[in-house]
Amino acid sequence: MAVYYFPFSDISNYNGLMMIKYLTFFALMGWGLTSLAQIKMNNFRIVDAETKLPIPYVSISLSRANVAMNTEQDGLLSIPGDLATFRDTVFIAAQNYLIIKAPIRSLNGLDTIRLRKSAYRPPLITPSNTGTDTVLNKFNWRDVCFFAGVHTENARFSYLQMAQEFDVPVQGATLKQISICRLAHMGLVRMSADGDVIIMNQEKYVQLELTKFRLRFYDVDPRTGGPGRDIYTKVVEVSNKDDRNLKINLKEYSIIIPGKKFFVAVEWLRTFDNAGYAEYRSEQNLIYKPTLGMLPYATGKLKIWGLTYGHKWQPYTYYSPDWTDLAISATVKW
Amino acid sequence: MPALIHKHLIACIFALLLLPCVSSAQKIFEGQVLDKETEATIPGVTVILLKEKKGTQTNNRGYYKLLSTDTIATDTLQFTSVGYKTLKIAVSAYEPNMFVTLEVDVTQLKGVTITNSKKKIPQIHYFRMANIKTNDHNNPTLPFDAQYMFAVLAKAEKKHSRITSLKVGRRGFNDPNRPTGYAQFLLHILSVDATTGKPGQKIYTKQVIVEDNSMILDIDVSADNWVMDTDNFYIGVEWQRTPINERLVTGIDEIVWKTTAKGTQRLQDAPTYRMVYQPSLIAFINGKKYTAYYMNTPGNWQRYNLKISYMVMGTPVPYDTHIALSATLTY
Repeated sequence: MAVYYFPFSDISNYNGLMMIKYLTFFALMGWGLTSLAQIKMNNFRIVDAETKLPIPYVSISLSRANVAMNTEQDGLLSIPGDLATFRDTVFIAAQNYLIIKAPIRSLNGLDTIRLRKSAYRPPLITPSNTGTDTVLNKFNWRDVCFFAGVHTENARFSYLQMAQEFDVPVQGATLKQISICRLAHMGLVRMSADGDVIIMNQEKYVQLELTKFRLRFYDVDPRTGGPGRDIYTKVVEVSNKDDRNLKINLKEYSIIIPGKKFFVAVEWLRTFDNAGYAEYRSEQNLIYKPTLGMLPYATGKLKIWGLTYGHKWQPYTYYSPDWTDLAISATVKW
Repeated sequence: MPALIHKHLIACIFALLLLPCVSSAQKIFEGQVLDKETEATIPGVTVILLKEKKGTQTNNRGYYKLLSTDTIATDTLQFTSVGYKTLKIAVSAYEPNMFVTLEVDVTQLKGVTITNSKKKIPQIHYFRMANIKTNDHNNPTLPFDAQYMFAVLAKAEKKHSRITSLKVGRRGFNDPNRPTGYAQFLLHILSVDATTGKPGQKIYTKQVIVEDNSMILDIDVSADNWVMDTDNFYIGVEWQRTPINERLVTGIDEIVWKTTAKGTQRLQDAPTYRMVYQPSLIAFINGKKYTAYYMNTPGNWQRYNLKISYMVMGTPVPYDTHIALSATLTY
């Protein structure tokens, strides 16, 4: 049986999350594990520039190394190595804050990174009240058998968020509910090192794996046709969901859609509890829950967008031209 | 008078409570219809929900899918086909993706002489419906681990046989959230490598595309004139590694979460994900000898020897398995 061993697991000062971060950075930035003892650690705290309070789940990504991670609740971040020698661009982003895009070497010698609040606020829209409840991108969850969110043998999955495009008949519709189909395991079968299959004690795995993620809501970017600005500024965090077909009630948020087109995105939280492993080029690489279902229907228009580690939205073409939509439906009142 | 109102009120409440039992939301009925004796799939069977008055027919794989928009709990599924006895199943007894078997109706075959002698149809590595039923806990379906090809040695009784059909059992629905769905793959007949005994050159190839949730795939090659010069050959499945043919499977593994000061490792489960390709073949327990190979890297055949272990009194007991892949021949 394969056991993943984190090289820092005997250092009591570090928790599991930090170990994942170290491992990811080492593996993907080409550092030899043999020289760990000599590597300098760069520890940062990411805080709100005004309040000085730590910002949880800030996304940090390197476009060239194709690496991404999050801060935890404490806003802490550690990057191993001599940053002055790195040649890469770091993107530091959090909802409602201005994105920092800078050479990673500019972080050398810092211990605090301050993010400034974005001045942008979505326009106030009068809710429409002419129609009835409508389910957009309606699907039968039993049809979902393809999933996005993991590496495959030939393609690395490198997105911070994935968004589904929706069209509504009128401006000012109210978003009431989101349904998402994901893949979650019960862990009934385990493969031993010599290839035997062992049926595990099923009672141990009576509950599906939990997940935690954020929902983001965007209007359309007129230049690209993809996701544009946030249409809702409060953080919508979904946690402890143990179902495969997730239903998220949004009534309490009063999210008004300003135009006739909008996007709902899942933002992955790169935490220890969300982490899993998927093969890419015969090596196990970290991925994060939830996986997102794909609808096995071809509509002729691709409506899925992914936010890259370089913070650019681009169409998600992995299943093109066959599948065009995520298994995300939206219930709107208009 | 108030007593009468009270009586009516109770009756109304009782009737309202019963409503969900009479009518419920939409439901999908699907599965495959087989001949009870031969277990051949039966195309053209009419499947009807008698009360809802909705119906469909099985396709060329004996597969049907019937969407009931307003399922009546007391409704009945009826299966009718010429030459077979009509079968009725209460919808309450329906199980997802179940096999339905129809019995030949001898009374309808007027003018036909029926004898007890059965013509023997040579089938190599014959497997039965019971071997791949997912609701039988003793025969679980498992994700198959080969990446490129799988081949099983077939030994015909004599040379110059003609292959008329191939039968594949593929992974089904032990998880109702993940239907088998679309699959495309290649079926091969391969020679036996004279030096190694492993699969050799491809002799015949047929592409198979499945767009439904059939678990038993009967592939008719009688029109392809697959005649074998030798009595030994391999039947092979080759996976087509395209995104639309992928299927994500999950598992668990353990990570070292923490090592204590005394050196004790604390482990924690973490999910693992990997892609397999359709079809996911079915392994089932069979005591007979079996020579098979799988290919996980191109050109490298490895001996197949998968064992399924069951926990018996806390100890895993291994059993040999076969893969549900067979051929029908004529001489």
